Amino acid sequence: MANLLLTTRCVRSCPYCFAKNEMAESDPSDILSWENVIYVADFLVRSNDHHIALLGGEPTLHPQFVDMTLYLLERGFHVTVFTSGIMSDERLEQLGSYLSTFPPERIQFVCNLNNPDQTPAPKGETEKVFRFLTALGPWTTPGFNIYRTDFSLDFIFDYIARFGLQGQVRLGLSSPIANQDNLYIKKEDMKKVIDRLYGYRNRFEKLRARPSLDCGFPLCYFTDEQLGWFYRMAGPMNFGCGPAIDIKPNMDVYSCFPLSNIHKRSLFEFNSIQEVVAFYLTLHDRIRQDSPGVFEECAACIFRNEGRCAGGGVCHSIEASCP
Amino acid sequence: MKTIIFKATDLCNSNCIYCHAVRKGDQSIKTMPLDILEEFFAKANAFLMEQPEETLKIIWHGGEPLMLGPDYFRRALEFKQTHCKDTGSRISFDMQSNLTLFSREYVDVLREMGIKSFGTSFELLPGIRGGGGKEGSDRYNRQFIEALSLLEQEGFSWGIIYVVTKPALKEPLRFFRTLANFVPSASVMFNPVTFYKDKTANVAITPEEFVDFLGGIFPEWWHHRDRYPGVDPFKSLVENILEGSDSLICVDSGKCADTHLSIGPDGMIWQCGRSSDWGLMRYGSIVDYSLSDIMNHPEKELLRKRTALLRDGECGACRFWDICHGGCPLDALAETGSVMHKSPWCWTKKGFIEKYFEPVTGIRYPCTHGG
Amino acid sequence: MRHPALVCPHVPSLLEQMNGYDIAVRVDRLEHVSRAAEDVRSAGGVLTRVILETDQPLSTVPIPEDWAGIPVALFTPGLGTYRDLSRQIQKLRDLKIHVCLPAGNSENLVSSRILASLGVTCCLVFDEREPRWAALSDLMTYAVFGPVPHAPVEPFHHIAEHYSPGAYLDWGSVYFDDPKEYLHLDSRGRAALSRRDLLSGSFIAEHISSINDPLENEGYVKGLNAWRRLFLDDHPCILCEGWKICLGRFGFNGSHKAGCSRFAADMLSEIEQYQSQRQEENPEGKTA
Ligand code: SF4
Ligand code: SF4
Ligand code: SF4
Ligand code: SF4
Ligand code: SF4
Repeated sequence: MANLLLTTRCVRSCPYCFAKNEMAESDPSDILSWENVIYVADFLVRSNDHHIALLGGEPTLHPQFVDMTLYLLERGFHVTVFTSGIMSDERLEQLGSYLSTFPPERIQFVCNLNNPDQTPAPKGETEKVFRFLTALGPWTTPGFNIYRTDFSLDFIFDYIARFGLQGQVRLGLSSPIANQDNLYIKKEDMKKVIDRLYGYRNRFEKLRARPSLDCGFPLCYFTDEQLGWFYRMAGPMNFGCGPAIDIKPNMDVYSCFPLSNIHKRSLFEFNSIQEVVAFYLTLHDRIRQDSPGVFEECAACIFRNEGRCAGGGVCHSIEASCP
Repeated sequence: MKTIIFKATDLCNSNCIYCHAVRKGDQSIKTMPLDILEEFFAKANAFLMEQPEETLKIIWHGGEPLMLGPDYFRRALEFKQTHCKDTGSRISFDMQSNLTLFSREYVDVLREMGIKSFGTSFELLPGIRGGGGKEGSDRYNRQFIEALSLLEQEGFSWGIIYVVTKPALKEPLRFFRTLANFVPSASVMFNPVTFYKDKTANVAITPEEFVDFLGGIFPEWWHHRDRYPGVDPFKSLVENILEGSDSLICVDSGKCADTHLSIGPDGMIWQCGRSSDWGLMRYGSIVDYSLSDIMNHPEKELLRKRTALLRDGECGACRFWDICHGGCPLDALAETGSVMHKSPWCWTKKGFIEKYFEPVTGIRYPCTHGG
Repeated sequence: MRHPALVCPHVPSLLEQMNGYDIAVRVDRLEHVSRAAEDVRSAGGVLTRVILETDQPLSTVPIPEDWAGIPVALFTPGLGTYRDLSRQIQKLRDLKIHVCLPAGNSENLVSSRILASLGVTCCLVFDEREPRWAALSDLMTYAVFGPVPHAPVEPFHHIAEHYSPGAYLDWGSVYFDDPKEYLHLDSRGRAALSRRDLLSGSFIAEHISSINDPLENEGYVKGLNAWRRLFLDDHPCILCEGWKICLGRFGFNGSHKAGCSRFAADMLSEIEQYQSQRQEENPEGKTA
């Protein structure tokens, strides 16, 4: 699945924002054109890939967000939209009347939620998020980015119950962005984060909500008991690291936001998504040769050799090697 | 195969500046009488009976052959059917016409004659073709264009011979583009205008000028040669040089003694169309001689000897011999008074290849590959 | 020659006289489409298309179900919003409707690509308004080289498939503008060579019945290759590299100056590349 950025503009300014880098350098007119939507759709079809994720910035800011999403659905894609849920009433109404006619198996929203107490938002934003969740709760999976060790998840469980959200929580570990200073979890704090997450097990179980871990978690920081519980709740876990392929409106590609500063290429240079992935895998391997993982132990780790753990994120390796 | 330029009439509805019908034959006979026409087919049959492998290609020429009217061609077909019962399949027809008189009345008979394609000419410059002056050219071209519509609708194709005159020299590419756009099949042949004695100063060109004219077009053609498949002399040269084709037009073949003849309205036989226009190389009347007699005429023998003479003489050291053979004997005769010299247009072959073909293509003649 | 099809207005008394002809019937109201098709067929004509001309954007034209089996060419100024059109895409595709859009409106260049990628045939109509050449060129490349199967974008598809170095290519028939393929009748049965001639009252026959073999009609023969007269007028088109695949159509007879010429030349190169690629992939010209 590729991630397509409809626009690099955003409505929020999160302290951990991994997209910060892209946002900062973006030209306000940098929004995806129809020609490029069609190009990407053709590119994915040719790669026999029928999933697409729409990202931003805030993708719903694109004036043709609804139209392009409908187009991709008509082309047979399964579409996942990553949104803050903050949008104009008019846009929300369009989403409700045009997109909610498709079942959640075809279109899904991942609403990236900030804890209103820990990450205060300007007045009115939370109401907007509520309006979104009210309208599209059954199509929506809550997402949460962990960027501090004292994070609190209680509000998410409340939202799931209150808005009928999908029973899954996507948990991201906020990552260092090459050559930028955003807030992120240092490798020495990861253990704390895992323990704190595990502390929420009763609430997950009560709601039958699956904890779904994004990239970059180190396998060795989980106890067997914790692994057992995660497995029981959510099935096999992935301790890998990308490459997730992000495609910018101008058809630049890179392997996930945190790495957007390095090795940017153009989609036009490739013939299939498999080629893009292979290109970045080779690149990751090269980086890993100098810095095999986040910890010294990674170099000789049997789990890494067997491919069960990526040794934390490449983003951390790059961070470590940068002054 | 023998090619017979069949000038059944000297009449023409146009008056092109480079057309000098200065034939030395009986000028009182403008159109071939039917008895001579019939005689011709009888002689053609006798010749083909003697030579079971031989074929005749008869190119209706003039004057303007469509001045003859459709009935004339019907009579020709009748004579062919009557006299060439067993040999008729070895006789084919072509036509070189200005087309301005083409009409629906011709369609059936021309089809029956097996004519599919016409050779013609076109000129954008005023005062060259037609009845003189800009007005004459315009009127001529309008008629011509309307005839083309009909011709194409009836499923005939056509190609043009473009005669390069002095006023055209300035903008070779412009002429090339226009002609290539004008002729659907891009079948265009560039020839230099040639005169006998009268070198009408404002239209005549030199071999050097002709070579530079071709050189102004060649890079464009070479780059897009698939787009303009039929442009000569380039196409033929490429076939000869790169593909090893040994098919050469008369002036390059060194064999025109064995391949060409022309007949005029009075039944007089000449070496070729141009030789009859210039009144040179006359072999005698079809009434008096058989075609075999004509083919063995002493002047034809002289032409045969010419090739050997030039190979060991004037053209001896020339690396282009195999694709030139000393050029046209008629041009040599007109210029020097003897056919036993190489053509004064020698440079059009040698100069073009050395100055343009080889530098543009990066291929040196003779090349080792391709044959 | 084969008699050209007749583009007729939807006038039943006229259609009744058209027994045996190939007919494209022109209507200006959605509700008349199926009736017009029926009238042609019941009069013994062979229906080739119903031409519906509307000034509404496509997204606001509610396409009825009863067009099944009727070949419709729908001339519309534009697509409207995709979100509103999206509900009709399936119908446009299933009913094989050809959507004809003016090329002079840049939005239509994008719209054509959207429609084609979704399997709807579309056709750009070149008129007085100058297209944005760069965008047109981009669309042409998509139409010719788009890697994923898509519906034709005319006239590009037609040109790519039919271009041959030894011939002119007149593609006006993709929007009924080529007297070899279509003659245009008014309600009295008078015949014109094109829609434009019809509207300006320039007819080649007082009644179509007088044209048995069109080649016997002087006006017809004159009009057939009218473009050839450009060669006598020192017209800019005659020097244009792309002439053989344009014949003055892209640039509205060269009135758009240099832009069209660059475009047509680029297109010619791309078509050549397309055909040679196809030749390499399929040297014996076998069809899949
Ligand atoms: S590869 Fe590194 S992070 Fe992963 S389990 Fe081994 S030591 Fe831990
Ligand atoms: S580098 Fe790896 S761990 Fe870091 S964000 Fe990208 S995919 Fe995730
Ligand atoms: S004399 Fe010259 S023009 Fe005549 S046939 Fe021979 S080569 Fe050709
Ligand atoms: S190019 Fe000149 S020298 Fe050479 S063969 Fe021809 S006429 Fe003779
Ligand atoms: S592209 Fe323009 S200049 Fe060229 S032939 Fe067409 S209209 Fe004329």
